[in-house]
Amino acid sequence: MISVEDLSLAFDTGKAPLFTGLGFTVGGGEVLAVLGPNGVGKTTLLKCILGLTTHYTGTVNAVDRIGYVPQKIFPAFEMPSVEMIVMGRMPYLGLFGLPGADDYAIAEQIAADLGIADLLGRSFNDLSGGQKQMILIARALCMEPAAVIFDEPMSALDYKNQDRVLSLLKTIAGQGMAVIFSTHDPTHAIHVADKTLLLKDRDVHYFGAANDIIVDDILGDVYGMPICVHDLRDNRVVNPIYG
Amino acid sequence: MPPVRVPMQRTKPLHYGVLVCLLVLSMLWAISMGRFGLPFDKVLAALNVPFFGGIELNQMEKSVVLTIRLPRVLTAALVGAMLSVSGAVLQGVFRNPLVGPQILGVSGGAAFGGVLAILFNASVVAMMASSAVFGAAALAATLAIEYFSRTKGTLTLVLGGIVVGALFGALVSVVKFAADPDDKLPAIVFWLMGSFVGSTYRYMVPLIPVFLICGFFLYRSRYILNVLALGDEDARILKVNVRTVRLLYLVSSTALTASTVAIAGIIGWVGLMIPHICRFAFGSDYRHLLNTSALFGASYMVIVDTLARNTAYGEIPVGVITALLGAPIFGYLLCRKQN
Repeated sequence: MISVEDLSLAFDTGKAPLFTGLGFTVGGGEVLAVLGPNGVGKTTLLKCILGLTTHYTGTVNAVDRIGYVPQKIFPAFEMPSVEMIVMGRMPYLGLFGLPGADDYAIAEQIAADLGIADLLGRSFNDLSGGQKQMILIARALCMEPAAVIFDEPMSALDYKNQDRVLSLLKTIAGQGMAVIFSTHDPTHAIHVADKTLLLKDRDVHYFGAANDIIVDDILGDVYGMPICVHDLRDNRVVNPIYG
Repeated sequence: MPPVRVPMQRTKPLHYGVLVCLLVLSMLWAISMGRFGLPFDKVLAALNVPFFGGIELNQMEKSVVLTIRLPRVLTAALVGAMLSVSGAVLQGVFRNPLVGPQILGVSGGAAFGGVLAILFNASVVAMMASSAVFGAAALAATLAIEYFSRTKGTLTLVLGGIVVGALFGALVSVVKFAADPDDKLPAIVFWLMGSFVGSTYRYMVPLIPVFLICGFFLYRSRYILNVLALGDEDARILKVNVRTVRLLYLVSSTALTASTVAIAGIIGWVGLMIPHICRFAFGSDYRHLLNTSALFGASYMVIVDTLARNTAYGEIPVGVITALLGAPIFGYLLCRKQN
């Protein structure tokens, strides 16, 4: 569904590339977690897949309709959340189209499924970070996508909402969609990801099953500090050793 | 589940009704006002409105209504609608409610074309063509700056527009310097301040196809402006071809602005203020904002032009009145919004 081969990206010719030789595949129903230190190119990689940047060499094969949940969004004008969600129908409307009753019905159904129907009438700008995140997830699903990409979806969420979104990622993948998400917390990858891509720097990256990648040695190598992965109450958890 | 469809538009049929009534009444009032005052019933009779056919009119009254005031009022309404729609579109494209039709340097380019035409005693059609050509040249220059810039995007476009506007402003000053101070210079200065003096059907008719063609495209594609409010990247994710639609919007708004400048000179503040007021009053949904801006902008321009020709012994340039009214109203709106 999404395959990347020998991907290298440099924003300016002559400058050192952000990353080189990346390759991975994500099929329908699979979840890929993308991890790595700040500035290593996680968001940029997601933008390559979405076709938002063309500064790369290599091959990116992706389905046409990919839903995207950005970290943040700042609409220039006030709009109710239902309008934000229904904009997910844009790929079906074309240049001269307007969303109709069917489009609103789909948006309302998705919001009800996500348990955010009560937010639909509220201004998007007035919502909390977590609520905005849920509205943007609903918008992505409103596209009826074959794949969904999340850029650090847990960054603005408390533990309970993180758990909610992680479950949602599994549910979405369970519906046959390919799911890619970036995160700073390896525990998220252990919890939901079938595959993990761990970016260290320009040339070094690790790709494989989450349980094979999220281990002490590799995490220590990537982040340059001791990190302990251990079992706790039937869960694998990741603890950095500070100081 | 409770009804949730709380649209971003607060616009309702009643609002449209009020705006249409305002436009019709302002036009009737404008036609009736002047040194040669006419009551409403005579105005309606001259316009062949049913039920007013029995009222007797002399040739002078008919001539004042149909030959002098009606074309001027219609021209003012068209110009007001075109400037307001142009401003609303640009505010959507640039994601900024403080943007006006002057932002891309188009007004400056069109003004240069106009003053050149005045300098060389060109005809009305040549003046329109000259304004359109230099307005389009200004847009092309602004787009070229963005194209060749390393940082592409709306900020570069705005800065490019400022540069191009300043260049054409300097060229207008050169023309003023070269113009005959007894003959051409006063005409240029008066025209630059914006005015509908001497408007006839001949002036108005060329505006109609521009308004219809650009208006049709903008009306049909207005929902895209809502999506552009999210930002270029988000719009692209939602499968909007941002570069293409932005170019189409810029060309349309340029055509609207340049053609108004050719007919009436530079009339500032309308394209900035009217969409802002409509957004404030009726909501920011472009499915309605373009319509409400066109209707309210037309009414506003008709009223302002009527004030311009009735408040003093000689006629005040309409651009002076729009600036005098626009600046404090806009300041008030900004303060209120902050609060």
